[in-house]
Amino acid sequence: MNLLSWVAEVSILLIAVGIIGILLIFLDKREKDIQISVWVGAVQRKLYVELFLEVLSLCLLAGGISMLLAYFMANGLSTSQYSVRMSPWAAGVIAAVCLVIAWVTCTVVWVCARAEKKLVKGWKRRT
Amino acid sequence: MRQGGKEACERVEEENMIKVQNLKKVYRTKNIETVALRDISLEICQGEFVMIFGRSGCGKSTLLNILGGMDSMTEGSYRFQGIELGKLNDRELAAFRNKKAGFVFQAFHLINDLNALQNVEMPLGYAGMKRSLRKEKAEAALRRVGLEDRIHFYPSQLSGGQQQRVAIARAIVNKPRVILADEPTGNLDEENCHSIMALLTQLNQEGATIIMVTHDNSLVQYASRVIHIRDGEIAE
Repeated sequence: MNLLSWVAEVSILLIAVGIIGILLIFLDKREKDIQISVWVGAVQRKLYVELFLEVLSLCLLAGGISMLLAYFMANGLSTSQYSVRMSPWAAGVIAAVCLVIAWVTCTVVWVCARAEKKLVKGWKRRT
Repeated sequence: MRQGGKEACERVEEENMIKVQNLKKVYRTKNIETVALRDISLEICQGEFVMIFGRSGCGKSTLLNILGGMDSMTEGSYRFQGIELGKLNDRELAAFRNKKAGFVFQAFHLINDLNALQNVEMPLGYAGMKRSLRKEKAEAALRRVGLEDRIHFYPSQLSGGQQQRVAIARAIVNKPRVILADEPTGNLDEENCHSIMALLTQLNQEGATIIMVTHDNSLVQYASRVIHIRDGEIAE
């Protein structure tokens, strides 16, 4: 059983990395929209907040679906030897993972975009 | 070419809206240095329709991007209504792009997930305007460009000419001091091209300053002044 829980934890980690990858692709497609927003006067912080809220809502939606699935599947997965149930602790862990995924995704996008000077072309003289 | 232009500008010196002196733009990568613009000096007055004319790759779009606060210059001075743009921080530059300048691009650059009204509302949203007022102003701008019956259409449901009209409505919705247009008719057929140019002319006659980049000789007739750019330099 200990081995199984390790497998589960590694799987969750891999899934989290996969989700971050998907979100990064999704955000890459948004690059044009972000550039347009900059042209019409968006400030960096507002764009970051917009991005974060969007990614966070996606993550929370995915987290909510996961919790519902876990709740309904728990009984089916339980055996007489081992009880599987959805606890408030597990729900908290899922919510925390969602939050971390959203934050990591936005930070990676923001840092990459600034580094490549794609997102916001500042006025400061760069030679 | 239409009447007006530099003579009028010289008469009313205090109306100089844009003053560029010895502007230079260099793009540097690891080993390559490309001089896009060199020693550009120009003045543009309130109410002018200036056409920046030149071949592809001569630096005219780079100049427009610098005038619009979308790109930085390497050397020189650029003053907009007396304010040196090189000294503004990112937040102030965003406010400049939002309130003082309106942009129109060749590829329209509308957000596909937003309808015409929402696209036009964007600058007002970033200016912090209330939703009800935003809607009212965006509708007025769309009426101004003759698209009052298309306000809920998405870009994919509009023709090229209509998309460019939405882009113009977005550019004028905040009543900017200057409209910067980068080959606005480049993706349009002849009929739509002249209709868009007529609209820009009309906006200019109502007081808007327009700076337009083009390589199309037939559009020069709409401008009150033409600035020729050749190999990154003004060739007048």
